[in-house]
Amino acid sequence: MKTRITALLLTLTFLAGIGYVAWSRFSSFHNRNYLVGIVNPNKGSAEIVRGFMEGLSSFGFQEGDNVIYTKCEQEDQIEAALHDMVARKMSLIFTATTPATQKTMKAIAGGNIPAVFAIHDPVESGIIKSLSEPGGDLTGVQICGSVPKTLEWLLALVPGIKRVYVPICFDTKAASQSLASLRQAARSLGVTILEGEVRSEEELDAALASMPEDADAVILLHSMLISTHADKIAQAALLRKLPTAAAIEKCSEGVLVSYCPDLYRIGRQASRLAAQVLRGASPADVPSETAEFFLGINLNTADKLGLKIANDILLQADEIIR
Amino acid sequence: MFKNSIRTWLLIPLLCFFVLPLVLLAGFLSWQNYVVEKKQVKRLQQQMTSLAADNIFFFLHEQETIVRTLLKTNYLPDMTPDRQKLMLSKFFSSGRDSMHESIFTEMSLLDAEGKETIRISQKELITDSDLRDRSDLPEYRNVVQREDIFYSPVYFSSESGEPLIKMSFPIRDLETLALRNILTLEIKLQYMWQLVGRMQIGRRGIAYLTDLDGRVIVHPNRSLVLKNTYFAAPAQPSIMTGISGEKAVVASQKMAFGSQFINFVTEMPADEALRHINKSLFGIACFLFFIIFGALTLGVIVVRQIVKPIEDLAGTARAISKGDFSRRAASKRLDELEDLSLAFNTMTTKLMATINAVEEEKNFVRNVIESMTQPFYVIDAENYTIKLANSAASFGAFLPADTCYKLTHHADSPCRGAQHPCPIAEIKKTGKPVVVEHVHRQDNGREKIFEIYGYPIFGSNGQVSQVIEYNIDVTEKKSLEAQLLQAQKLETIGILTGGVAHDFNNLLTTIIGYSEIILMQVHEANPLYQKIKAIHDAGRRAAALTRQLLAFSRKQVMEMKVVNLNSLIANMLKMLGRLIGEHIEMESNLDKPVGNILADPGQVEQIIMNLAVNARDAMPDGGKLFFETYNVELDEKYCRTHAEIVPGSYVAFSVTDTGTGMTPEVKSHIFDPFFTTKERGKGTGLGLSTVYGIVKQMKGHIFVYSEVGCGTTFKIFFPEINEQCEAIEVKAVDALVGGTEKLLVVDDESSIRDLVRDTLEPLGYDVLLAGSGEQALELCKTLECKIDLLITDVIMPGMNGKKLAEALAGSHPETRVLFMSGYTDNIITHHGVLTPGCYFINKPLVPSMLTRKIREILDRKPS
Repeated sequence: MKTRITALLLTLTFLAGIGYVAWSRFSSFHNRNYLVGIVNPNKGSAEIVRGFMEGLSSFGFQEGDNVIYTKCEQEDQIEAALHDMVARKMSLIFTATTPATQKTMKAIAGGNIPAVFAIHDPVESGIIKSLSEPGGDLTGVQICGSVPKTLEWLLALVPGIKRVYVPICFDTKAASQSLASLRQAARSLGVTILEGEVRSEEELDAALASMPEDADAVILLHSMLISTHADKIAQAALLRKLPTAAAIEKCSEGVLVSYCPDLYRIGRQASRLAAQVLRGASPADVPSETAEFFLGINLNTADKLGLKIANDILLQADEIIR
Repeated sequence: MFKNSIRTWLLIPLLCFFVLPLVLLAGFLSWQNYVVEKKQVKRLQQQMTSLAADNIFFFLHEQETIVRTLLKTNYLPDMTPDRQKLMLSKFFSSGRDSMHESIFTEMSLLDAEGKETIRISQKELITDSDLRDRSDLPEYRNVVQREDIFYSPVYFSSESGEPLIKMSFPIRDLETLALRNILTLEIKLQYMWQLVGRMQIGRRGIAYLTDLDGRVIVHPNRSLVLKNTYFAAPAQPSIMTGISGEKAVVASQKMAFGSQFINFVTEMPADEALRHINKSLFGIACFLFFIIFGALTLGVIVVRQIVKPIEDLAGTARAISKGDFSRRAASKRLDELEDLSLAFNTMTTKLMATINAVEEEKNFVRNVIESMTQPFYVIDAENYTIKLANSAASFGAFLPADTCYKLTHHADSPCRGAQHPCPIAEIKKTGKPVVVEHVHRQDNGREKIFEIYGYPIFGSNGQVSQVIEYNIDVTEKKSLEAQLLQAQKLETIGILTGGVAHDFNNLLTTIIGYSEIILMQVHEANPLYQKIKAIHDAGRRAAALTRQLLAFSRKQVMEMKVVNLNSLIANMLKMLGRLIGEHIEMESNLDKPVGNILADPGQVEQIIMNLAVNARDAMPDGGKLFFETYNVELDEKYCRTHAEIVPGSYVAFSVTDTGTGMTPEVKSHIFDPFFTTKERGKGTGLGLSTVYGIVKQMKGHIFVYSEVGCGTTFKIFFPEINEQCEAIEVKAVDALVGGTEKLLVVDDESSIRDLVRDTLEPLGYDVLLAGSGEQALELCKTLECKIDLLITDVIMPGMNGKKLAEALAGSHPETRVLFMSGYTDNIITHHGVLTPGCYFINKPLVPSMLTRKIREILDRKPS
């Protein structure tokens, strides 16, 4: 009788051991389903989202496989959407634009939902404490670029510019931040800034129609409205034979020169951070990063403007659109 | 399982010598294997690290190479500031890694004094006013001091946490080698993380760089670097917790990075590195497990095969020792254990047979002692406890500690004293069997006497160990003995007195006879008459006395007749009243018809008389005297306790008085002759002895019951006889009546002869005399006439009277015989009963009685 009991115990132990090993092997994150929310009211920066999603899938978070995305791209629906996301206990929320990120930060406060952002200046906006130690529920990518250098490049391409028209909408903190640094740079370079505040698309249209006559160039700064209608502005400038420099996004049609981060890359960079958070890291422990920025020159636009860009400058460009 | 058993003894060696060494060996080998493999793994990792480090080295110094190339191909001091700026700007923007991340954050050209002439920044707008004096800074000073390319230590951006390094290149005058410019670059090390990330360290291993303080400067995970992570890489390859938190094999290689040093660290997860070891260990463990399991199972099975039969056998033995004799060992195999089982069974069967035999023996012995009706028991000689007892001992259920004295006498100590001597003590002293007597007083005051027989049992040491006792109730026997002794005593006395009386009677015959004759011849007025009368009376009294003596000794000749007691006693009662006096009240119960008895009426009268006189004497102040008769059956039981009685029908006659009663002492001597409680001169002491003698001669029995102060009862039992009573002829015969018949008188005493002649001749009889039997026969032969009556003494020398009668009967058949004697003799009677045709007269002869008797005989019709 005792022999049988011993044999039974041994067999059970053996099976238990095997079972444990099997369980530990097979219980990986692949079995989990992740709910990821995306909040990006800036239609102009849709590339960020694409980069984010593709980036996440390269880290093993496939949509349809183990990730379900919930997007909100309407500015007026953000609060409701966030409320909903919180209620559904999202694994992660990715936000772009400062206002959206601020709302997200409020929504997830005190909860267990982490968030990853891609905004202009998170430290200045109070989203994080510092880049290396975010210290909260959010981490992400800083995409401030360099407005002074944008101006510098503009002048390098088209020397003799004295007055630059800046359409601006203060729908994001980034706008005032970038405007402030533009003013400073302009002073250093001896350039005058012609500010044109607009609050809506109608006003923008009106402003474009009534661009100052003595503007030598146009510069696009961070703001959602501007970003959304960057093409329109650039076209308008082109009509006036004015070179446009963009500090916000790559030179699309009509923009002569851009010196800013790549939206897609930003998304991918953010996705790398998001992957770490999804794998269990706390946002407080994942340092926020700055996005790389690139010099882009659109030769087509240069052609249309009748400009000849020196080879030395072209050599320095990271991207040339021909 | 851990008790001392064969199973344990077999399993322990199995474990010790097989399983344990196996385990130890496997353990040792595994450990050896493990240690060796680990070393191997570490060594391999170190090799890999070194190889990789070599690769890194080139890469690390790639930028240096590029810058050198730049400076070699473009001699900056010869260029205009604008051209310088352009060139540097182009160079700056060309600094992109494979992921298009910028390499440079800043680039400055310093003059020989360390002042910035050009500065290019990725983010900042630099104007002339922003140019700085960097002569104090290491990027200038070191170059100046060492005259070589300067690598700053790795530092981190306070804003972003990015690792940065500064490189400074001196640009010298080609002729004088004087320092013309210094080109300093601030480089982001993050461009290297792609490199490191692409390194193949096993499957899951990583490589990274730390500075000498352990701060991670390049890592596949950028966040780790930005986060300010530290890791102290070991000098020797070791298995430790790696930077990823997992156990890993970590190896490092210190590398020069320009003039600085950094650590190149490789980390391979331990389970991957030790994969093979773990696999082989696992394999060994599995193998071992199965081996041990198999060995244990096999061992247990084998042990079971051996042990189980033994255990079964042990179990059977245990059951049998507890008393279950029906158990047998099971045997199913054909080996030594089978033999053992069979032998065991045989032994058990034999044992059972022996036990049964012993049991039978015991039962037999038990039966034997139980069959005894006497108490039989065995007592321990030391502590007096009962070892064995039969039911007759009536001990009931006794305990081993119960002693003989407790169970038999209810005492606390052994028997002592004259009444209860202890046989055990005696036996212990002498070592021989003993017989002692115990007298026990019962509750009703009766005594019981026990004879206790004790026999010693000797132990192996020769000492008395136990004593066998059986005791016999001898109360009855003793009582009977006493009675017999009494009877014998009386018998002896009787014989004595009988002898004396015979001679005495003869003498008395002369005295009485002649005195009576003289009285018949002398006138009353004669002065001699009274004197002769006195002699005659005295003679008569003396004759009465001898008669009583003879009666006591049962030597009287009795004429037995069938009589009825009731009528006898009734007749007597009248006379009795005068005899005992008026102060005594007489009562009788003679109403019940009683059976007849064979008795001599005269003697019965004598009895009644004597008893009545005795009763009278016991009641000096008056009392009651009660007579009763009844039939009674005396059974075996009664006869057992009363000596000399034969069971049968009896007629009982009891005489009860309310006198003083008798003590047991007196009662035991009551029938002794000459025993009297009266004063001297009052009574002869022969009264009751006479009664006793008469009763005994009549085959009856007499018993006395008396209690002091209560009175006395005499009970006499006569055997009943189923015959009719004879009518008692009370013939009044004249005193001296004569006749003419011929009488032959034979006696060896001449005085007797003379007396008889002198008595009878005057009456007219023809008397012939003979002095002996022979003489008589002689005489008869000569006389050819018939003799009417032979009067002969019984005891005569030569031919005795009986023989004479028989002889004479031949020649003179008509002759009647009258015997004379002082006492009876078996010659003429059969225990006192005359044969028919024989007559008897007691001596001393009283002439009146003689003549009367003769007349009676002669008048009787021939039978």
